[in-house]
Amino acid sequence: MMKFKKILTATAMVLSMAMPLPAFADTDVSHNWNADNEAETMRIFREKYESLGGVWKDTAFPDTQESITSAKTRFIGGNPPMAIQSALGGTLQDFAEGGLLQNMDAVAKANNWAANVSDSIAAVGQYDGHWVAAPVFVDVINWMYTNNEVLAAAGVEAPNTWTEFKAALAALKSAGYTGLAIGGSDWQEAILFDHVILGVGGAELYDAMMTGDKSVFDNGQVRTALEEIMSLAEYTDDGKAGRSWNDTNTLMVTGKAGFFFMGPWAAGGYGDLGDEGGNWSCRLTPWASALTVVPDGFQFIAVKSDADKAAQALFAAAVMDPATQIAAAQAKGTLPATNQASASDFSGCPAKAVDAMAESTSVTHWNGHASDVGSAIKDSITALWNGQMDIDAALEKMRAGL
Amino acid sequence: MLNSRNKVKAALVLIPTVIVVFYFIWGFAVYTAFLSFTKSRFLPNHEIIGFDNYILLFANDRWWVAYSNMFIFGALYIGGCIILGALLAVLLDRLTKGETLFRTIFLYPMSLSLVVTGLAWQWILNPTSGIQQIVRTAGWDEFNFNWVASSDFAIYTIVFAALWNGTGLIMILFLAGIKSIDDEIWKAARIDQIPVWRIYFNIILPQLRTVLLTAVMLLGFQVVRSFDVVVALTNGGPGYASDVPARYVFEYFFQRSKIGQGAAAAVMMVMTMILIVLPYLYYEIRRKEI
Repeated sequence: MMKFKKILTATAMVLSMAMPLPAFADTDVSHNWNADNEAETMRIFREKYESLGGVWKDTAFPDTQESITSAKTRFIGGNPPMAIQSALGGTLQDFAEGGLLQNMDAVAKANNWAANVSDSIAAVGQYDGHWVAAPVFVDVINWMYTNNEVLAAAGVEAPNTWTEFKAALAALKSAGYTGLAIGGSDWQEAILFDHVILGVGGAELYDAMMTGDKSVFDNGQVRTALEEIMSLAEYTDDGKAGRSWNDTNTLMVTGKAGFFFMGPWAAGGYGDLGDEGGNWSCRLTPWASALTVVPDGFQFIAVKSDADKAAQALFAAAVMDPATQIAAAQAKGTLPATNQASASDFSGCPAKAVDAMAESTSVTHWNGHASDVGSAIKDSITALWNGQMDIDAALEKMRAGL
Repeated sequence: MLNSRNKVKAALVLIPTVIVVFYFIWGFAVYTAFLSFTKSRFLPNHEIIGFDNYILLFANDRWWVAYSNMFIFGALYIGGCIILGALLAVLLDRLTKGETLFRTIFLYPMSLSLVVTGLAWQWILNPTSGIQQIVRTAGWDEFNFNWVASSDFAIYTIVFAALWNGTGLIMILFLAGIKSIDDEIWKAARIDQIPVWRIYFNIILPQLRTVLLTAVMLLGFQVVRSFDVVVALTNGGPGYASDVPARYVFEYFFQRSKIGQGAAAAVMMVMTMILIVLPYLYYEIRRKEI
């Protein structure tokens, strides 16, 4: 035992001598960036942070829910991670109301965050007027992926309107393909609903619904959307129950299905898919001039010790550095939160998103709102889509929940 | 007999266990019940709001789907396990050769965790890769077996998987019971020339009430806490058609930032269990005393 202690002390001494700068406590970032491209993203942030003198440590989780649950438990246990990566919005409000977040105003001021991001992005990094999170990416969610070879084989042009889309689905079906690839989780079904709502009432209706304006339920637009979504059921396959989004993505990419609605993560992370524009391509909802966006970033947990706070400040400075954000966004295949990026920095789907952002309306996706909003959409859509409720009941459930 | 000194020793040895049990089991159960009356959302919050969480819970159709699924699953699972288990036990008892082999075969599924069971059955029942696809490839193009994708039938697929997993244990319980019956009864029944099946169903099995009680208890707890098999097999889907209370509690506690409502649902689970088990226990114990 004594011997072990000696070795430990010796190792610590050697390590501390090798350290060029004051030894910060480790960062300990919780995240769910596991795919190849996301790991690359993390490496870019990590290198920037280490070049500033930090010591890196991270914990990866399979999804956001797990990392949030872990962060919460560790906070109550008195040993929280310093930062947690997640979609900002609802989660941030939950964390902030629970008193879990750190005031980062000093770091933000020193690094001029307010000038580096647009006002709407700055708003999602703050709670009650104080910076508590670093917005690093803006994920545009409403992508429609198409398999060009499948469409060509069925003799279908890429659709530009909802009517053309449904005609294309019918043509695919008669050619023996699955028209629409969709998986079995409620959030995948809710993403399909996003595209339908945008088609029926555009960004205006979408935003009104998400912000709790119940008057939009009066003119029948939402009902139309629900009717339209049900008319798509016949173009899906039997295997959708319980299927994960990445298995569903494979259906589209391998030429079993024509269309696939998913966020930007579907385009990245699968290096062997080849580039966009080959056998598959991506478009933002063709029948609407709108983008649904979710800011993604790091929330800073209220740590106590000065060493932890210093490490946190350093990490915050690293991830909010505009050049680092742009490089990381390029690796991840999404857009950076900084306002200092231009369309020429990107290629493929993200470049299309930069262009679209300039000419279309951006609205916050349900995943960027309080968790009740997402629950209301997901619960009612999944009950309707899977035949547990009729349209009237689903409509009422959605109205009551929003 | 214990003398008084040994009694003190025994008490001292037991005290840590008693404290741990009280704190971690009863303490936390009481705390959960307390949380169900508070405003807890993302984190525990001790502001009392009365029965609001219960009102929200009872107004949520999702809860009623999960709650009624518990009864559907419970009735079929407990009934199925006991009938199949008893039947297999009788058949095994009749075997003159190979009893060990068959006992191992029937008991084997129990050695798999319910998560593995659920995943295996998910593959078996998956309409695009499981039974349906195999039968269709074999030539019956119109064959349909997509229960796992149907919101009306998904809960029954969970019964399949759980039955497959749980029957072996009940079979062993009954087999042990049958073996312990006095040989004299057999001899007497033979002399009276009662057919073998009637000996089992009118004489042997009725004597196994304690085994039945044990089986119902064991399976009952399985039903209330059923979680892993559901998560692995359907994850509550399609939609939330095959949701069960334990999964509901988990989701509201950890994923939806609604600790209060999750706690209320957990309390409902315990209450239901008590309501069902207490009268039965009482009845069985009273019978014994008489």
